[in-house]
Amino acid sequence: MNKKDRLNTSGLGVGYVSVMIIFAVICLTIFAVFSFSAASSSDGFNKRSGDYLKQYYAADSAAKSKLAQLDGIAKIVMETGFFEDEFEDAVSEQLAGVALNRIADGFSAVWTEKINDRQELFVTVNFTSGGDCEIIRWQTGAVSEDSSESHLGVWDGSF
Amino acid sequence: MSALKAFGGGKRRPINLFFAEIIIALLFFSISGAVIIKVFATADMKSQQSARLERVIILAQSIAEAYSDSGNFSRAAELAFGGGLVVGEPAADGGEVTLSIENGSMYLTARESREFTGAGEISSLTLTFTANGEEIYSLDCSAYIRNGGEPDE
Repeated sequence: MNKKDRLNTSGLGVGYVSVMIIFAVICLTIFAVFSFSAASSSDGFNKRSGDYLKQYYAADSAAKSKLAQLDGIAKIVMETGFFEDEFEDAVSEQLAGVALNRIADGFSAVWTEKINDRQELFVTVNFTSGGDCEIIRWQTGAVSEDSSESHLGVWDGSF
Repeated sequence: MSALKAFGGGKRRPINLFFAEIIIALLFFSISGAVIIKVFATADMKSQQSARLERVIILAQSIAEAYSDSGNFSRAAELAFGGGLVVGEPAADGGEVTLSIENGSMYLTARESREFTGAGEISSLTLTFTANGEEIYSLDCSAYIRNGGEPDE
């Protein structure tokens, strides 16, 4: 066996290195794509989380602003001495979107603030003629949708 | 014909086909490697930015929750960052306070405004987190403190 033959037959054959390199590049590419995908997914999740936080605190601020207005009205009305007679009228004149329900010795004010398309902030605050203001409910909940639109459009058996 | 000689066809100066393949394969690997390393580096940078944003969001939420309860930024910052942090109170008329956080890699700017209503005080706080002069995250929150219309002393 001369020198040339030994060089051709010993060690790796032609094409083996190409196959190994291509395999390594494919593996590295897959790892790189996976790591980029994971980082991108995590980044997207954090951005959505941050956006939701902004939306929530915007609704929270709007609800607090309304609470401050209601409290101010309650204080002014209370000074007149006709709280139970005038509070409802004053609220309906000055604030939109607030429902008042009569409770013992006062009113319960109920309103919602929209957080996003799917969630709302439900607020219930009790105002009494004694000047007390008590937050009963400050809760995030799903937007109440019309039931005819929310369920799946499956056949109900009628023709 | 001369090309064939160059790849081992010639008898005077034989170049093994094996080495030619290795050279081509290494060239391909180095080009692919450069692209792949760039993708890895971008993923790592994105991951670091994401982790920083996550920390900032948690911090902003902690401060906002504490502020909603007290209406006092310095108290809220103390609760969020832990004891020992001396924070100046922003001026009531839209003043701002800047804090260096995370070993100076980020800055938190708090801008506060207060309004005295008939029965209490409603205060708004804007938190802005910046790094390298670039805004990372910003959050607006507010607090309503009933105090009978008297401003805090």
